[in-house]
Amino acid sequence: MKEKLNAHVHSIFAPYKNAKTAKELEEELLQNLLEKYNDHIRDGASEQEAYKLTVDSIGEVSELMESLNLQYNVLEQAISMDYSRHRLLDSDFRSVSVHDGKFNSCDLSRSDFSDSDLTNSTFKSTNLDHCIFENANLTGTLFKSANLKGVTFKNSIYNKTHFKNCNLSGLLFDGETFNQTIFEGTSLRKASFRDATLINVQFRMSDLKKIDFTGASMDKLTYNFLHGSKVDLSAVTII
Amino acid sequence: MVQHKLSSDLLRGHVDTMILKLLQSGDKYGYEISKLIYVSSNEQYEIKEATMYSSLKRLEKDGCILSYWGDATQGGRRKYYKITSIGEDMYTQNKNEWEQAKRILESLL
Repeated sequence: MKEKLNAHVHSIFAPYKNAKTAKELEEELLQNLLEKYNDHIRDGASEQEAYKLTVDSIGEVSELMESLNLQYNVLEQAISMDYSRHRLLDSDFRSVSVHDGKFNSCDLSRSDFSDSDLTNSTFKSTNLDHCIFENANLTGTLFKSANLKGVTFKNSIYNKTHFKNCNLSGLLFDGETFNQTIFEGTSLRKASFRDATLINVQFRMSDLKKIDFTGASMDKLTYNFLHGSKVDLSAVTII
Repeated sequence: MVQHKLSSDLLRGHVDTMILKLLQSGDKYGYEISKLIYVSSNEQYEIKEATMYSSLKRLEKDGCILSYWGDATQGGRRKYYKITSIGEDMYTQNKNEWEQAKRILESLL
């Protein structure tokens, strides 16, 4: 019966499964309901009765979803949304899930994308001046001709992330892990990858002058790419 | 049944204030709040989870309460809610407004 309760709660939240706050609310609600169910059993209800009473106590599911939307606003519905050509300065995209989102040609200066899931999203000719990407999932995300000046990247996922014709000079990627990431036609002058991990990372036609790889770990493929570009790899560990 | 629903609609408008009052005596987690509302109302008002969470999320957004995860107990972890000074003020204000409304309704109904 507890499995059934778990499945019921899970089905309520299924459309929101990529949003962090929905996950938390699901966990919280399930915990409440399990305790409630146990109390009903303790009070002498049959498993069937206890299940029914517990599920009935959830109330209107739409009301529950509204309470989620209080935190996300319309962005909750943002899967595959197209934000192109919008001025969205100082936007709050925290914890938002935007798979295949299009943020092309828009001004997102100083926006916060922390804890967001931007899988397969595209940022073409986007102004991302001083944006924050902390704990962001950038799997398959494309940054093309985007302004990334002063951007903060921290604890993010860069699987197959593609930076094309971007200026990343001076940015800090210290301690980050890159997997199949592509830097193409991109300036990484004085960028820092201290203690970063790089696996199958490609640096095509990019400016790598004064890039800092102190303490970084990388596989042979990445190492060979960089070795040919005369980058200082003296403090690098090959893994 | 109709009567029951009416009264619950009346009560629903005051869920925020009920929760703020309960949190004044210490931090509480969701199920604890709904149980206390049931018991304190002499088992006459059973708040729905959805109603409670829409209130909790609203209060949190307005800065009236804070939430934090407690340690895992048997089964799972609980999220606790804590009243803030904004919440204390909100409670006093709502309570005063209710006293006023009650006087008006008593003379009108």
